[in-house]
Amino acid sequence: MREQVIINENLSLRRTDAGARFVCACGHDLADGSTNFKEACAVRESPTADIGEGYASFAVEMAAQMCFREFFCPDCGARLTTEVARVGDPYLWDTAPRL
Amino acid sequence: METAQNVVWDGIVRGYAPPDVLDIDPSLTLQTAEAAEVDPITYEVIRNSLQNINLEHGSTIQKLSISPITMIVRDFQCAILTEVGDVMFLGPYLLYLGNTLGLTTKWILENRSASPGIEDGDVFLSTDPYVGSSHQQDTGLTSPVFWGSELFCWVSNSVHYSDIGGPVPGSFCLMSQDIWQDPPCFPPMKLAEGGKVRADMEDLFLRQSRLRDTVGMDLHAALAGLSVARGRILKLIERYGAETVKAVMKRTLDAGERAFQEKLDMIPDGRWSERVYTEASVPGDPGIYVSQINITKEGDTLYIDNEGSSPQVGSINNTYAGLVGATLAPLTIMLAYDLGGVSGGVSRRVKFRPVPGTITCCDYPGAVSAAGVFNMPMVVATATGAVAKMVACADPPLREKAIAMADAQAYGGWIFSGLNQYGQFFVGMSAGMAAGAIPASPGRDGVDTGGLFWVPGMEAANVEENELAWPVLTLYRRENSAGAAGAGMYRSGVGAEEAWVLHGTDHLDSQIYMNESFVKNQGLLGGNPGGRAFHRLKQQTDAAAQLAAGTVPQGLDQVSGDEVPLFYKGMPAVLDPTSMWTTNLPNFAGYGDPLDRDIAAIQIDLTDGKLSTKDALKVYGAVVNEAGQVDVDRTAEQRAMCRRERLAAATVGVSHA
Amino acid sequence: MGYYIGVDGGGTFTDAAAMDDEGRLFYAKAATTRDDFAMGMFDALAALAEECGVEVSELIASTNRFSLGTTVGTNLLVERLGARTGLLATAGHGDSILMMRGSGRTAGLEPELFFHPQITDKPEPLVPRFLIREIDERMDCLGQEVAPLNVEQVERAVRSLVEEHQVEAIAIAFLWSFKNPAHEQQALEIVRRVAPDVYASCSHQVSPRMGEYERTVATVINSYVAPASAAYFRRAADKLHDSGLDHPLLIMQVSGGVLPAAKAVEVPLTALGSGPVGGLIGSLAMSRQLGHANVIATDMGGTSFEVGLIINGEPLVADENVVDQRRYKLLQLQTTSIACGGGSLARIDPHSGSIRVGPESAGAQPGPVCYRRGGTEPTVTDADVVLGLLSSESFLGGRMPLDRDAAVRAIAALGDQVGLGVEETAAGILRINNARAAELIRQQTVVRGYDPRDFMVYAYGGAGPLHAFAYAHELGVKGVVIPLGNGASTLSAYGCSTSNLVLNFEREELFFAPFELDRLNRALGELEEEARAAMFDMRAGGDEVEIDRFCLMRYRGQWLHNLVMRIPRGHLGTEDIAGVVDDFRSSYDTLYGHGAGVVSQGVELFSIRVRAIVRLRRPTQAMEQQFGKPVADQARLGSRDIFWPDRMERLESRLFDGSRLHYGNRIKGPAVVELPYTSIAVGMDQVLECDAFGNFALNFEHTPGASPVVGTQSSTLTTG
Repeated sequence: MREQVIINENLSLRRTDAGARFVCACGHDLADGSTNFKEACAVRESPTADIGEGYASFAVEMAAQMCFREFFCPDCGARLTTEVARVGDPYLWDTAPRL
Repeated sequence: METAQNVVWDGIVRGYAPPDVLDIDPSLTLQTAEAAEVDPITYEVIRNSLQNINLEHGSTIQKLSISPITMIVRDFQCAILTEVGDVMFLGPYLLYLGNTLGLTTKWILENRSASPGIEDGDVFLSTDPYVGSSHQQDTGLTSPVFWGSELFCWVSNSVHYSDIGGPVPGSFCLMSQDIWQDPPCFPPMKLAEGGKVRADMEDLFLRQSRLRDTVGMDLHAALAGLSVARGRILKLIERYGAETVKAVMKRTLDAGERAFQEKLDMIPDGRWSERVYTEASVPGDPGIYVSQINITKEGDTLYIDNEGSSPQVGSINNTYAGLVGATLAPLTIMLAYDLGGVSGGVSRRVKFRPVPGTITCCDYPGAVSAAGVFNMPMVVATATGAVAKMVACADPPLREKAIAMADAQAYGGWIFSGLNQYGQFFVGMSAGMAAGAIPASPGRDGVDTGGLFWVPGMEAANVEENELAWPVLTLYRRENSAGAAGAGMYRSGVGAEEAWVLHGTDHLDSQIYMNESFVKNQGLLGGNPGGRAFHRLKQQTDAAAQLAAGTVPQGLDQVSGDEVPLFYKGMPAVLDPTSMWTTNLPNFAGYGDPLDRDIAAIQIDLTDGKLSTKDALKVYGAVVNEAGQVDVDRTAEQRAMCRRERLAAATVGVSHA
Repeated sequence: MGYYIGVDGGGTFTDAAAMDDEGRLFYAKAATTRDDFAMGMFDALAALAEECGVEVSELIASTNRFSLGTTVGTNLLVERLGARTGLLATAGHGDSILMMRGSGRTAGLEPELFFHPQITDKPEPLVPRFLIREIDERMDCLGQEVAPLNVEQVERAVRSLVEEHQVEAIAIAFLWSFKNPAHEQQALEIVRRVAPDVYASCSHQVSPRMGEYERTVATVINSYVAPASAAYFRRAADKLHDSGLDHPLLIMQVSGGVLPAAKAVEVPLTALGSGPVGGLIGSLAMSRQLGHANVIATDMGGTSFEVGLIINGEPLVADENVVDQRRYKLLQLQTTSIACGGGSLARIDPHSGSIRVGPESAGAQPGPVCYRRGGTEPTVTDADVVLGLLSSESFLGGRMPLDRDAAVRAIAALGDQVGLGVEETAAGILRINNARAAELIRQQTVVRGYDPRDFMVYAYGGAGPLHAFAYAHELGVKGVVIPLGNGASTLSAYGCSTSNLVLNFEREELFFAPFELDRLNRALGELEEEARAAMFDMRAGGDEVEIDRFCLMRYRGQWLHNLVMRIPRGHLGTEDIAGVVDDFRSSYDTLYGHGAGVVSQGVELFSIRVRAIVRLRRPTQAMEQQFGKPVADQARLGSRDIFWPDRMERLESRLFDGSRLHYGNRIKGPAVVELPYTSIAVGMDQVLECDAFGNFALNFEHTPGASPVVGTQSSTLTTG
């Protein structure tokens, strides 16, 4: 029986009285363990070309369909995860461990 | 297989997925008896020998082949398989080819044991991706090893041949809408019988190629590898007996399965996914497509599916064989790193539930010849992301074995053709970017130009070797800096950039170049994605004049001329004596929030000149003073401010689901 | 009385060997002194003088030739104590040595590690990025200048490296310099002018081979070790001169020859790793005396097992080496090494329930459990002690009593985990270790197309004579020689003393078949000329110089493969060259199976080599005149129960003192012969015989075709 799953230095899944919960290292209770925690994050969506030098291409129209998403803890601002996605595509539910 | 009942995974209308028990013609007798007991000492001696036999098989191919792609880039694989085609040992070469050897061998057992029959001294050749190769160029040879009248085991290899025909030099047919526009596809046929190569079959294969001599030499290298391995296995059986050697093979697979099982025990049940986007199903297509891999872990088994992948289209498909191989590669590195290439035990605990008719598992007649440079790296990258997220959730210390994604275009491939400086036609495949990079892991930075983890023995050719073979000058080959690309709490190793001009010819055609429209890589659990792979070209430059005057241009911005906008899968580009072009293999993915990166690690990169002061601030929130030192207090303030800015710029509670 | 002395200052001990004018051999050892090597050397010489029965001053003063083998370069590299070195590289290619072709993370490592990225990393660079300077210049693949050398840039770079960064050595490695060295030569002149005290070397001199990465590595390592190596050679030469040595000190080279210290300081890379070569050369000298054309020379020590081959009386030559994950090309006698020796650790593989031996080693610290230095994991040496092959009392002549009980406990604990008894476990450890040793030999022979059954195994080093009875037997070789018997642990010092002056010259130049004879003859002629001139500079010249010529051939396009073919002497005609091509094709088929080569594929010759040898005279080794009786009672020490791993049974085995064995003695197994620094195990059905030169031959009775060293004693005696 696991008490918790460490996902990264900031995010973990913990057993609590209220069931399994995604929790940030700052103590913020993020979301129910059976949901996509990204839905409970503060999200910044920006053009992929803005990530840094070299990310812009000549295919401007195609690149405009894509974005870079950063998922932050809404309380402390730690970046919990990121994804490059097509604008309008749902957040990928990519991390669903069970206790 | 949990797909619809009427679907046949037969290697003809759909990729071949072998049943648990093969349907083999009764005329073929398999050697299955095992010694009940093998003492631990004999076991170790035989296991060690088998592993060395496989390494010798690989080094024979590497030494005797003449295509740089095989001998230097290690775009090949070899294996020893059990009598029923379970892969036992893989070599430290292109990992995703390993499983394709198993599929092809099993298909042969089911479909060739009655006619033409499987006999001692046979070698089967297959280029059919629906049977088991990742694309037609990765041609497989597989040969039964008999002991007496019984089939004891198989030795097998898959080698990338430089040109096996079809409409385009190099046989990567980007324009293909279906397999009939691809190079020919040969289901398993007998290249050799009774230990002798059949001239008719050899010609049938070689006749398709633009590079008959080169492919012929490589084919003979592959045959030599088989005969070396076969001979040594027979010696081993002679000495220890078939039943003892067989017992060791089975026990080694069992041990591999147990070791893998122990790792699985450290991972919670759950489901993990990765999604990678790609573009252009054929040149000029503005569409965007999805490659998705999902892993469900339940108890002692991993279930892999590709739900979410786009329907198959144009030339950006791979078959079932590609999907399986591409998934097993990162699983081997992250969860079977201690098995020295024993992958057969691993695959027993991995079940596939593919959605057919998708770009990651296409049905006949989907075109697949371009998969080698497009789909395969992309699906490996997709699978890497899913596996890495799963492994990161494992109990320590296993979670540290997670490795972030390598680039979806990891070869930085550049394929070109024309007449070389000796006046001969050639097809070149640039391997310079094989210097690779190891991406970040939880707890460890990656390794700068540290190679490609899923092609463990890969190596970049020397610039001098390239210049001897091709009519080019490499103006520079330089490591990237460690800026935003691949940043994170732990950063990726850096990739590299290379720039060329023509030399000794006045015309070349660039067939394939990688200029990504957008970044395809994904960061791991808070890390930045890797960079965008790019290929840039300037025409009408003064590079030649600068060289003659004594300056070697060190960047596209240092020469005059006009940059030609290149697009992903653009039409072949014509290179002339005024051209200068660059290929960049970007840094791969980082792990964790860059604002959590250790200041000492940032300082080392600054001192080494790998990180600019500007990027230190922008990417890592590190404030650098005039002496070049990170100011600890001001960095803490800066990072707090960055976190506040993030939240100010973010929206909460917007659901896309 | 005059002496011919060889000293090998390699590992834990500094070994010395001497032959006097009458051909008698003497050996001695002393502990190596790390801080000042000369001390250990003089200690060894003092011990040697005692053996010879003269004062050390007299020994040195009456020495006709003094050859020194050393691992100083390797130590500098491994301990990272080399010179602060700067690198001048072609503009755009300064990163080459840092990128390491992407394979530096795993180069030279065990293949199993290839699957485990997290525990592999690149080595710390020898030249950090801030000491690399890129220079505008460019040659192409034909050696034609594409961009001229920027002379001012070179001068600025050198000043910056020397004045701002205090480099002590500079490496110059430009692209294609082996085709056209002009730019490197110009840059070298600038370095000499601007910084005359800084050591500098050029890649076209150190390693004139294609492949800028490997060539740069060779040049950088060379510059890195040069200042300290040169100082070391000079100090040794001065001290010996002060002690009365009247001849130039000769330094052992990886070519298998020696060079005067004054010449050796020019390119110290050629002395790097010459330690194992000494043993191979010692084996070579001995094999010629004994008439063994094919020899597998095996040196098993505490941590490693080194194998070299002598084929048809010639040691096999390699052209690539990996040190510390850095790969470079240099002609050297081929010695291949794996981590397999007395200190190799035995561990359980939890998944298969089997025992693994090595590659991890207990090293010198803590060492085997029985050494009482804190080791807790059992090693091969512990297994030797448990079985009784090694005596716990007489190890190192009794100076280091071993803790047998602790070894038994450690091995029993290991055996418990897999359900084996203590002796079974110990025997198993040896069987696995011996199988690994045999596998390396197999790879070195069979893979090259040689049948081990045509070979004699020579076994030396601390653990070789003890284990050869098993690993040699495993291969079905003709027999085993423990060269020099009691002197087997100082064989490389002996090898140094027997070495000749050797210089190798090579040039990469591509010829497609049918080769242009004029160009080929001209190239060979120039290379020969160069070799003779260099020998002349060392005051060895004229008719004494023997020239051998070779070429490297491959099928067109095979960059990673080549076969070395001998080229006939003199001016080449069409038929000569057709013969060489035929030899190539048939050797290729022999190696890789009939039809492996494609007849339509062209053959190319891409490198030519010239080897110049001046044979140094020395006395013929004296033979023991008296043929003793076969029974070796005079050397009998008693008996001990030994559990023999090949038989899996405990047998009463006889013990002998090796120093009291004489020519003609025959010892039938099971037996152990104790030597000062090692022991020889004689298995059941094996016979050890002593010959007139002090060699011990281990013969396997079951091999009917075997020709033991002393063979039919008369034949070897009369021809010896």
